[in-house]
Amino acid sequence: MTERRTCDDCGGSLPPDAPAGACPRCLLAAGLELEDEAEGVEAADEAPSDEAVDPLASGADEATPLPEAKSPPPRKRPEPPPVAEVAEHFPALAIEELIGFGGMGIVYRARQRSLDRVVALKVLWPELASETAFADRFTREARAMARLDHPHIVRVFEFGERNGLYFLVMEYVDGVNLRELMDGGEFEPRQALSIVPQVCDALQYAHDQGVVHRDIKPANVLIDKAGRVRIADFGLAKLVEGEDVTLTRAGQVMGTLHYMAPEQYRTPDDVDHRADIYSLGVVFYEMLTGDMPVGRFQAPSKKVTLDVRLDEVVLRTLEREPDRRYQRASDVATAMSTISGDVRSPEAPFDSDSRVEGEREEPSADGVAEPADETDEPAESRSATFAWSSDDETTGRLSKLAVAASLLLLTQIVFGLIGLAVPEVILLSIGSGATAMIVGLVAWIRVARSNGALHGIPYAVAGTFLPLLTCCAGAALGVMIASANGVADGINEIGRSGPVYVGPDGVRLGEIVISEDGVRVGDSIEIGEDGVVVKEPLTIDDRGIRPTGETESGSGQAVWDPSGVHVQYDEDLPALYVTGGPGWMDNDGRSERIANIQWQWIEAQKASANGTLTRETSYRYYRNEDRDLLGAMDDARFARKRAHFELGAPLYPLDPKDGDLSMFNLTTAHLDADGQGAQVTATGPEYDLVFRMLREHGNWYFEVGYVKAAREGLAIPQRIIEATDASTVQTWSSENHIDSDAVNAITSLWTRLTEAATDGALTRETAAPFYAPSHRRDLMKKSETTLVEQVAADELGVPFVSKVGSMSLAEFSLRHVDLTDRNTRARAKATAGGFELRFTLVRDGDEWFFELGPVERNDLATTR
Amino acid sequence: MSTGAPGGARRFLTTQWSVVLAANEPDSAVARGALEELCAAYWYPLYAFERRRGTSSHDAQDLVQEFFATLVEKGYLRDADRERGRFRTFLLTAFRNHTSKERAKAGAQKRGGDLTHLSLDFEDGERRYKSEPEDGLTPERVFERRWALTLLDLTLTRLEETMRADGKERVFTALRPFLAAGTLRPSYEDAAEAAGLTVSAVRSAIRRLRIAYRDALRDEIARTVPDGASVDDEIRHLMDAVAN
Repeated sequence: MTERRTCDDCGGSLPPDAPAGACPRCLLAAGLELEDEAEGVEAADEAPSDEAVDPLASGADEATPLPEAKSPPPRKRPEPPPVAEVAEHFPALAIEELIGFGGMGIVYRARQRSLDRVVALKVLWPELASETAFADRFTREARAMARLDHPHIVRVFEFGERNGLYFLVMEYVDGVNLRELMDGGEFEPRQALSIVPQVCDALQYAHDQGVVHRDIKPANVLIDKAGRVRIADFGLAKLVEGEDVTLTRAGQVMGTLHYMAPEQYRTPDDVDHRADIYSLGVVFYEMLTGDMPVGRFQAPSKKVTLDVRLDEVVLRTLEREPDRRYQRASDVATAMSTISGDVRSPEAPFDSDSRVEGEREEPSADGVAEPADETDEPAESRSATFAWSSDDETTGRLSKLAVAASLLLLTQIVFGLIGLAVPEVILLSIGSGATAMIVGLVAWIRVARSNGALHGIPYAVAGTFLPLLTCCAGAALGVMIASANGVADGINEIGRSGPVYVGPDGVRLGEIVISEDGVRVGDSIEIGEDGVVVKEPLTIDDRGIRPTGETESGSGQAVWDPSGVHVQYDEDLPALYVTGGPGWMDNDGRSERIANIQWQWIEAQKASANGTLTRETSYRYYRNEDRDLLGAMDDARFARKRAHFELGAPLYPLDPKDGDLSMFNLTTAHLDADGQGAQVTATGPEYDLVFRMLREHGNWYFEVGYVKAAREGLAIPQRIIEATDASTVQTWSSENHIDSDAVNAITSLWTRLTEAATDGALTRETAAPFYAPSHRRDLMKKSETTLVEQVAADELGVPFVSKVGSMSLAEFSLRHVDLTDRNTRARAKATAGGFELRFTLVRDGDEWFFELGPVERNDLATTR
Repeated sequence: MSTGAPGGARRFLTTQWSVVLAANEPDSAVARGALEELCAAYWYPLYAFERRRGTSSHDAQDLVQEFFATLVEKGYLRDADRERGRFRTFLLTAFRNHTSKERAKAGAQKRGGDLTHLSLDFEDGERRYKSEPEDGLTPERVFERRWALTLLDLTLTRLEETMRADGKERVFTALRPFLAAGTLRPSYEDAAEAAGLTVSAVRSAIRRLRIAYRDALRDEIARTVPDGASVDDEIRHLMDAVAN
């Protein structure tokens, strides 16, 4: 039961249980429409006929009672009284002949004796007047009619009632009515273009006077011999409204039903002047095509070759909803004059041979929903619906350029969307947009200058202007996506009281300002060159950290998330922890790692400030493998040194006078390239702490045995010691709380080695003392091989390499010493000329030795 | 009306509702006969109405059956607007009165049994109801819609019967699609072949069929409206009812 089909004729959906599979609505409508079809068709076999007409005052001499007379009149209508009988009632008139009758009454041509002028006398059907209130209504309506004074409206001279007969004396129009004209076979559609404006004139005038015709149909449009149009029977139809009109005038009303606006039979009480506009549209359509716009009718240009712009006019008058029609009759005329004005000839909207013969052969009399049935038109044209943009080659082509402009616009959008993923494509998008604008503009001008031969202005306008809009939209979208993806290359610095994040590429998230009043993160969110910025001001008070106007606090930390920015605050310490947010660029998790480092520091600070950071509790700040730290500290030999210099800055670096860790704020954290370690700086009132942290299982720990401190004013030391000679190292390292004993020992070792090399005394045998005693045996063993030279060069280490390239070992200077493993090992570099040697040193007791093994030799000239 | 009637057989259908209304004694045999005939033709819309109101199939059958059984006896006819009332309106109004009264005395013993039983095919009714589109219509709309469809069904059936009686069954079958589209209409050529006529004869045959159909439809409607009431008004009303 879900399947629903659609009726080809009325477009309504077909219920699955429709009788015989036919559209119930159309089946019912057939009951209506066939009323006149029956008569029309029957009559058509004898003579061209039409629906019942009201021939009123069409006073052509040859005007015989119109075809209607041939069709059997509605059941209850009496025969028109003979002339002589009527004449009795109107002594002032010389009734000459009966010229027609219709739904409202009988019309006679008469001569007004007093004025000796020809008039039309309309006597209303007596049964119309049976209602008691009729007299009043008649008087009211007739007066309104009589007040109308317009060149295109049939004048009413007199009206009244004689012996129960209501009558109107009207201007006699010597000519034909439009019904006759159209049925006469010589009617040309182009004549519509001169007739319709006159009808519009008349209607507009009457409407301005508050009179609605209500029964515009061809029979009421009279055309005198000069070709002038007169509208008859203004408002007359109102006389019978409210009655059961079909009761007495069934045939007549059915005949005009096609001309009635939908609201006239749907909501007769709610009819205004726009009903006339609809009826005019029906007449117009009929004049153009010879058919009635019934059911799913085609646009006029589909049936007759004419300017497609006329379709718009006609179809708009035929809108079922009054609000969608032209609102004024004069608008119809204006629209038409625009079209004909464009081509400087009222007939020009038609092509020279304006009419498709055959369309006209069958009069619209049957008025069925499918006019094609009665013609030889191919069957497929039946289902054609009317179209606004005609692909008809003859007139009003759609401008190809305009279409091209729209297509280019589409291309621009498509490329633009692709370009969000593939930036190179953006160029294509921009190109398409620019082309669309140019093409659109050209198309616009051409359409505007084509006098209607081309249309497609909307396409052209879209092509001209929309590319700019879509470009802007695309740019905005691009910026959003770029900032979401992270343009900048990592945020590896955190800060407090300063930029929140300043990465290597200058990503600046905002300023954190911590004051007694609270903490603020920026004044506004700004999108900098590469990144983002936290915008909302933050305040922190005893309730936690709050964005303006919003309070949120938690136990021990506040979380603020105004736009995805996570700001965590520890109540015990004035420290911020910022992650996420629009500018949060977590390159491979690096930013998050920075944040975790910060968080770990905060934890340590907290413990330190609370006095809970003791030797016993501090182990959890170290990696599992490093937690023998406690045991190491029990080793009396190292206890003091390690406690002070080696066991890590966070825990025991401080003299009591320096306070606790909460005095030191984390200022920088540089992640190693692999992200598994970080060089961290915490700035205190007097000096900075520089230490390393290591990552394990997602957590960060302090690296044991490595801390450097720099007094305020000194450059923050890098992990690599740079020294050119021993004294420099001595001074530098002592000032920086480095394990200067170790550095001195290493420097001294290197000095002795270079001296030995200079003297040429560095042999396999003499080199042995430079190695730890436990390694010396291996050294000797290796030397026994036949490949001494090679082994010495490749494996045994620097000391045995007398020359590196052109450089003698003696010429190498120790440049870097990097203490690791609780200062039991050291990586060192020595350089000379363009060469660099990298090697490892090991500690044995208080002495340092070279480690056996490969030595790296870099040619700096090529690596740099 | 006076022209194009394919035969006189349909005349007997006319204005049965008028007969009912015109009867001085609503339960006269003539009135009862006319009414029963109407009810037998138009019970299904009521059934669909009641079902759409949420009544179970069984209860709806009982209610409709009871309603028809007591239609005359209950004096509902006297409620009908003798001047203008249409059978359609009357039927629905009376049925609603009936059901509300029945509901009011819910639990009371059901009537039936000794009363006249119309022969209504409720099984068929329920099957048809099940095939109703799920369209969210109100029960009233369902009633009106079903009414219109029933009416069309009756019209087409009667037209077919008439045509068959005249030996034109084949013509009817072939040309029926021309009455109203809905489904794709055959070409004149195809129709001519199916009907066994020439193409030009088909055209006149279509015209005649349309006229016959028009008359049949109007007659069918005339059965259900009082004398003098506008058939066209009723048609327009029903067009509204079937509109989506």
